[in-house]
Amino acid sequence: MEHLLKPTPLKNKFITPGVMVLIVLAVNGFIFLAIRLLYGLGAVTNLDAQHPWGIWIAIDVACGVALAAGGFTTAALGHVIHRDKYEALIRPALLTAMLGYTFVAFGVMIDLGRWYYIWHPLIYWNGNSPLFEVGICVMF
Amino acid sequence: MAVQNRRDFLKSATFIGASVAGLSAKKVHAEIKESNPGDRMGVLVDTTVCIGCRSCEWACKDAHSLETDTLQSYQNNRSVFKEERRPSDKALTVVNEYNNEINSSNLPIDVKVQCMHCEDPACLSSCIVDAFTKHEDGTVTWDGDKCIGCRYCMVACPFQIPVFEYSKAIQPNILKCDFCYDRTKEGLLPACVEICPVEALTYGKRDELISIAKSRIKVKPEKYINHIYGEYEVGGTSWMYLSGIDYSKLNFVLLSNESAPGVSREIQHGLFKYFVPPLAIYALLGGIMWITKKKETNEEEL
Repeated sequence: MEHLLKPTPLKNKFITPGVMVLIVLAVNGFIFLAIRLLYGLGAVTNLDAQHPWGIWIAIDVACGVALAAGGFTTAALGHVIHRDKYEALIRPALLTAMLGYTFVAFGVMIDLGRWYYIWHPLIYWNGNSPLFEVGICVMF
Repeated sequence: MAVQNRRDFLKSATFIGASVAGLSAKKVHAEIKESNPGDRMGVLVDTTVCIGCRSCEWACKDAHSLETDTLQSYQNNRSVFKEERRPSDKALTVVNEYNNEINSSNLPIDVKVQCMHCEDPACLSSCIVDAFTKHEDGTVTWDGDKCIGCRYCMVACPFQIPVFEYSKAIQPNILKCDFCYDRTKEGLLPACVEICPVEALTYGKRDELISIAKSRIKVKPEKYINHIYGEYEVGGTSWMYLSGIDYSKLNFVLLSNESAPGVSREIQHGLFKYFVPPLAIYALLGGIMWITKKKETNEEEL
């Protein structure tokens, strides 16, 4: 297991058909992202007064946090309960978790009407709001 | 109805949350009741008096510098009543018309819709950055400098009143009736109340409005049903309604008397009471860590 912890150069090909598909999806996403930033949420979503949150917020939060959950449990297994033989698993799990939370923050930011104010919960606190707790937890 | 579905979903979600945490909303509710000053203002809307002239819609737009046609075009256009409308980013208040089902020869019933200015507002409680303010006179206003545009207030509002400017990319606003706060603090009437030609809207102290409403019901019990909508709904609202037929027939949402944000607020505060639960979890994890570590070194020594 020890050899898995040492940094080694990647010998596999990077551009594979799978990666190509993902690149096409990502470019597609960036186009919509640009439209959203230029013309507002109404231009790319079907949200209205009765449906202020859509599938977007569900997927970006649920998927991102779900990705991060693996990091928590694996870290608990290895570092808290000290099953040291899982050490090799912890690193990729923590990387995925970190990426997961980054995606949550980024996805939520794009969904915010005033995305440039995403840091506001740091200075304007409302302890009564369940969303405040979620926001602070994601930031940390 | 889609509107009702979302409410039901949120309600059941809250109930599950409440039963998990095993907490009651009653205590917070009581605390809020006690802190109420007696100088709350309000408006009594008598739906049996309203003639559906829509002057209030025009006056509201005029007072809030929203794009508007002439007053005459509002008074002469009744075709908008064909479909039910909701407040939007173009109109903070709208009047809807319903058939008087009790007696088909009776005149239709018109209902003005706007923010109710709750005693314990769900928008204020839910807002992540505390962008809403409940003023002394009961007015609930929104502060654009804090808002991050997350639209949680729209999800939280039991009356589905706040609206968002989806068409704007920069500085989109949350819009809702602000009870003409800029006018009332200078001693003026709210624009809609001032223009109403038949006095269907009465502005005054909330306590006095309730006694006016009760006396109207008492004097003409055949004209009104014995229910002031807003007196107790979600802990009481500044805007209150009188009606001749059941409120559910006029598409009012039927709500309990518990304050809307009570349950979620209680769970939230319970989870972080004196910061004990989070610290307890970390202590527990640390304890497990220490115990397992010790065991391991012991094993190695053997």
